[in-house]
Amino acid sequence: MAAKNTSPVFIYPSGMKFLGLAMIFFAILIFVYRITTYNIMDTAGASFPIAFGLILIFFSREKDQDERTVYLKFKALALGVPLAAVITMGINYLHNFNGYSIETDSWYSISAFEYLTVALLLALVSFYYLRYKE
Amino acid sequence: MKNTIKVERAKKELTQADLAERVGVSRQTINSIEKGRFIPSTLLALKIARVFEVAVDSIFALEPEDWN
Repeated sequence: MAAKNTSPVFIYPSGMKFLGLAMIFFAILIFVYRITTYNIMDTAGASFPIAFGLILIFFSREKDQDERTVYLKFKALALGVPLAAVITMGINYLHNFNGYSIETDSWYSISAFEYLTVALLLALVSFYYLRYKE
Repeated sequence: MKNTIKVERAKKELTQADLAERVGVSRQTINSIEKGRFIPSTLLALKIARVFEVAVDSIFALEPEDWN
């Protein structure tokens, strides 16, 4: 029997969290710079590195990782992913629902990376809350 | 599922941190198991039983609601 049967679930070493944090930090810096300098508010563009940063943070191993942390991360994802879908639908309905685009033959929607950012943010908050509470 | 980890720990004079170290998990995980908030895997249950030198089913026992 393997000694640590949960280790293959989260493949990135815990140090990758710092790379994820750096990606998010620089993405926010560039996002703010583009707003203040060019008056361009590109949330879709900023969400790409932020989503990748959040992936690195969420799917990296915890320093005290064991089967409970794996269980709590799964539970956090089970909360975050559907809740983000509901929030996405709400944002689309309230802010992006400009109707049907003939050019793209589709309804307006926020990008996949924006959705992923919301889902992983909710999952991360849920994970740390559950870890503290349970 | 109920368990007698707290009693067994007292018999062996082990803290949660001691037991956690012996079975390779965090102290919080042992605390969650003791309070019934987290059900351990078979592997972890066997390790805990080995530390206490008793059978697994003398530490962990099913309750009627576990069948629902």
